[in-house]
Formats: sequence, structure tokens, C-alpha cells
Amino acid sequence: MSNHAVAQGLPEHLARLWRYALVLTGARDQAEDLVQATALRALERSGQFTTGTRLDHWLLAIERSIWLNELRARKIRQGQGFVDASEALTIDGAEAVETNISANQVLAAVGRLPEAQRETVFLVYVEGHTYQEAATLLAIPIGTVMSRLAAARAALAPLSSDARTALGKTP
Amino acid sequence: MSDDALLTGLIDGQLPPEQIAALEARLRREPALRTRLERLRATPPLAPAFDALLQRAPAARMQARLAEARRASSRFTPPRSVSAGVAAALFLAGIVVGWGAFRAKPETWRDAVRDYMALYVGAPFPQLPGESLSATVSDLSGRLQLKLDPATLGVDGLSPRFAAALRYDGAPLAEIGYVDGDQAIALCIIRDGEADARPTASADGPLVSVSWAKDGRGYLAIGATSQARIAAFAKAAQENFAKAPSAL
Repeated sequence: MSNHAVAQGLPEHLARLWRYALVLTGARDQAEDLVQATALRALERSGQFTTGTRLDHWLLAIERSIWLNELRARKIRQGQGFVDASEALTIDGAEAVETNISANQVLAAVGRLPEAQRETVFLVYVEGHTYQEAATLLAIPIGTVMSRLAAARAALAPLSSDARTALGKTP
Repeated sequence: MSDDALLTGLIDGQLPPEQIAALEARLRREPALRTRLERLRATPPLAPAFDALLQRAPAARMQARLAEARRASSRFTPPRSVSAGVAAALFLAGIVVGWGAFRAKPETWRDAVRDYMALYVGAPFPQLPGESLSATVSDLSGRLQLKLDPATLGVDGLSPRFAAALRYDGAPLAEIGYVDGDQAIALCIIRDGEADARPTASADGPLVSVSWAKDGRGYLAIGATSQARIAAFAKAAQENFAKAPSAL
């Protein structure tokens, strides 16, 4: 049995699925393929979607599952185990997210994080998952979510202090 | 759990009250812990950077690929009695075949938009929040070098509720979404240097459209509506842009 809410809601989530796919795959061409596979799988399994629950979270979970179970395994077999997303996570503009810190600097820094940290940071700080929601999606304890976020914060914080130094606000 | 993990939970407002109280008591006593808290708190905001990335998503191309895949799958549906294994194999084969096939680009940007709009038949555009809509429209105005504002985009009694900055073959493509009753109507404008062309109407399944070109920009008004409605919409849009200065 299909659920019309999936077909109807899917178009507005494609861009977010693409963004998550970039975080997962670290490659623009693979990201589009992953979104396509996710959308088709979601339509095929639309009967399993419970109306009234978060369609976006359901779609992100499908995307992650396809990536982990089907595509990432293939990538590792081809000897490309480590995913560095710093090249895929870039934009062609110069938007600033804070004085003296560009969106590109932030994206590249997140792209250089280890995969597990990168994905956790993305889900909580960008997609707005609660710790519990992220733990459920990633199938890990909440404590691990917190450790990953803490490690990522420690790695990303120098961006801000570098910017302040550049501005001469603090030594 | 490490101090860094606890402090991160505190910054993110996701610690239970008893842990907050305990940690705050420690923070009052331990200057090193306070320094650590400030260090972790200094992380720059991530969401705005990723929102900027979201604006670059190849939304039109992905929608077109999806529309094509849905059309293809409606031609061939495995029978319900098929075993789970066979169904899985068919599905995977479909993905592999599909990935190859869908890399092919539609012939023109207008074809790409038609494919994409097939997804909006009976499914209205989402309403973008006002600020986000005006920011996108203003960005598009710059990309297209065309005056886009409430005067030019208020078309035949409809106001825009959705806007997306897209690209086709490197040319900036604006999609402005309207809702007429329960149907989506889109006004798409590309700055690709095409030659002036008089309005031409066409129909493709439930979708009707009017296409024209003026001053190096191609226009397409399209929706699952009546030919008379789309013709009136297209005419009003042409009049709006004829009144506005052609370049910024």
C-alpha cells in the first residue's frame, strides 16, 4: 500500500537529501545518485511511512541506510575507504557566517572531520536533530553522540579564534 | 563521560536538569573547566554555511531525474506475487539501469523544467517564509540582471510563494512558484542569451505552457491548468517585464 504523503512531500526534501548525501559520500556525482536511489526507495516503500511522523527524518534514514549498506561497502572494496568531504563541501560564493569566517571555511573544516564526527555534527547542528534523534538514526548511545560533538567542537573552534586573531581582537 | 562531552551537552541545552546543576557547581569552582567551556562554545555557527550549500543543490536536475524514474516505473511494475529476493534484484537492477539512463540531460532547459514540473501536478509549491523568499528573489534579480520584485512577479492576481535559484548548462535559471487554486504554476526565467521569440503555447499531458524569449532571456510559464489560464498568466508576466527596465 502506498502513502501519497511521500510522493507529495518528496520534492521539497530533495535538496536536503542532496546536502546529506554530500556529507556522507564526499562526492558531488555520487551525491546525486544517492538522492535518486533514496527517492525511488522511499516511493517504493511509501506504505511503511507513518503519516504524522517526520517525513524528512524518514528520508534521511533511508538515505543513510542505502549509503552504508550498498554504496559505501562498494567504495571500500574499491580501496576508497576514507571519505574526505572537504572538496565536495564547497560553494561558489563568498557568504560569511560570522565576521571574517566564510561559509566555505566552515564547510571545508566540517568536511575534514572524521566521517563519524562529520555526520553527527551535521545531523545535530545543521538538521536540528536532538541528541536522542541522532542516536536513534546512527544506532549509537547518546554518550557517543556527545563525545563526537565535543571532539568536533574542539576541532572547529580554532576557526573562530583564527578569525579573531585576523581581526586583531585577541592575541 | 568526558568533561568535553558534558560541556557540549550544556552548550546545546540537552543535559537533564540534575546534570546541569552538578556541572554548574563545578564550573563555579574550576576555572580550567570554565576556560574549556568557552573554548568549545567558540565553534562558529554551522547551519548558515550549510544553508548556503542548500541553495546550490541541483534541485531541477534531481526533480527531473525523479520524474523520469517515476514515469519509467509506472510502465513496468513487478507483480505483487513476486518473491522478495526477485523484487530486490529487480529493484537494484532498476537503480543501476536508471543511473545510467538518467544521466542523459533533457534536450533544452524548457524540457528539464517540464520534467521537473510533472512532480508538481496536484502538489502545490511549499510556501517559503517571507524573508527567505525575498532574499532568493533578490539574489535571482542579480543573477538574471532583471528587475524581480512584487511588481514584476505579481502576475495576474497571483503572488509568488516559492523561489529557487537554479542553473542549466551554466546559465542562471530562476523558478518562481505560484499556487492557483490547488495547482502549481511556475514562471521560469533563464539568462542564456537566446534570441527573441514570440510566445508559443504547448501541452504535454496535464501540463500546459507558454514559452517566449526577450532581451537574451528565455521565459516559460507552466502549470497543470487550462490553456486559457496559462495564456493569461503568460501575457500578464510579459506586460510586467515590458513595463520594468530591461536591465538593473
